[in-house]
Amino acid sequence: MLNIHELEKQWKSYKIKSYLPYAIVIVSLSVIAGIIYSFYPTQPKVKSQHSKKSIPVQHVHISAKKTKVVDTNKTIIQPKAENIVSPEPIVNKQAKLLPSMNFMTNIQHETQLYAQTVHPVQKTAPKKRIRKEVKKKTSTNIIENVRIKEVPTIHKEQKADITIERKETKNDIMEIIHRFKNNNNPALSLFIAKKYYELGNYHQSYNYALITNQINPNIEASWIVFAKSLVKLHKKDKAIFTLKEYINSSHSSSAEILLNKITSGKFK
Amino acid sequence: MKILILFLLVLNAYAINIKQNLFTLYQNKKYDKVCSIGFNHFQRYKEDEEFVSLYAFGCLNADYIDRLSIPIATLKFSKEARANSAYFAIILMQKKLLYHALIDHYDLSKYLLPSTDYVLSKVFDLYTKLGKHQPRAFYLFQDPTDKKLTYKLYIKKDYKVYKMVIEEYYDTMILQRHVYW
Repeated sequence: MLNIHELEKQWKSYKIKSYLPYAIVIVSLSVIAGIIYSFYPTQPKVKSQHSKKSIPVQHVHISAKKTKVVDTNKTIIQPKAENIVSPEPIVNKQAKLLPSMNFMTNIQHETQLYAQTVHPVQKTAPKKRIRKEVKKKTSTNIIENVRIKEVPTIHKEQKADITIERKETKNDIMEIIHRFKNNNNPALSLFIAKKYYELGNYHQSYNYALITNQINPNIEASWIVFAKSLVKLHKKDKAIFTLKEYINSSHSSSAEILLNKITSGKFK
Repeated sequence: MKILILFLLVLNAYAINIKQNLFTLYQNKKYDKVCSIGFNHFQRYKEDEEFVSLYAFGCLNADYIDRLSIPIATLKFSKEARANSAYFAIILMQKKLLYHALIDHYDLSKYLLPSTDYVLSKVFDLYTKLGKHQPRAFYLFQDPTDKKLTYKLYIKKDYKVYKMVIEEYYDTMILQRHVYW
């Protein structure tokens, strides 16, 4: 005896399986069509939008005409002095339109997110490097502090070779300061400013950059060190102001880049 | 289904990639390329206001002012886009008016338009301040904020059309030459 129920079940599953490829093709085609439609919107859609927008304009026209008709039927009456809106005296101050560049930050953010998702491996490598650099920096900072305070107990904990390097750089700076005092060369003062900035002594780097600017105001690097030092000394507004002044006079592109970094908060 | 998802992902990545390319080109001050790439892909991304704004600023910095007409019309959905649209519209109008004035000696002194930080606007303002005057071979204007900065404005007859030239000088040294027609 044949098991009819079982056979019917098998037949149903066979039928469903036979229709499945067609269904998949139809669904995928409709999805693709939807995507293409969203990328290339057809003209009628735009036209309909325009027609929708134009309706209120037509209404306004009609109403304006109506009011005109009413006016012609009446006798012309001189408007009262109170109703006349006397034009304000023309002020020669021009309005200045400024572009809005906020969309740039959105794009930057978007591209950063994209880069993180597409190249996650590449991103992690520099992070490690940065961490290492930070570790190195912190260690050197400690050494510097130790040297200034001259506490022998902590000094023992640091590596001897690093401290020797530091001493050399300090000696170098002292020697260059001595030379600068003799000949007042702006190249030397700029070097000192840069060195102090590298060492994290932003007060001194600010002072020497200022001296360099006073001797020769056309050295771009000096203005940049000056502005960077100001930011590090928590005088961001002053840094922005001086950079703007310098850009106005010199049109320096690197100064502009630094200004953008400071204003956007990338440089802290 | 897997193929479809892959296709969608590739399409999305391609879209972001073009915008990213445009952005990096803009940051590298390759405004010419920004304008031409934006122009080629405009139809596809015309609803993306960030893309349109980027394209428009690229064209503006590359002195392709006439190409701003389409972004002016399309930028309208966000506050930022509307501000930029007005900004571009003023520059485009000032360019057209100045061109008309220089070639046909049209009097611009009666107009008081808003100004912008763009070089053409600065020259337009300085030109309108001259008032009614006899046409000159060239005009030299001093920047009101920086005395060392001067602008030379003149008309050059090219093969077919008149071209309006603005040259930026800093202490007799030419910085940039902008040609509009």
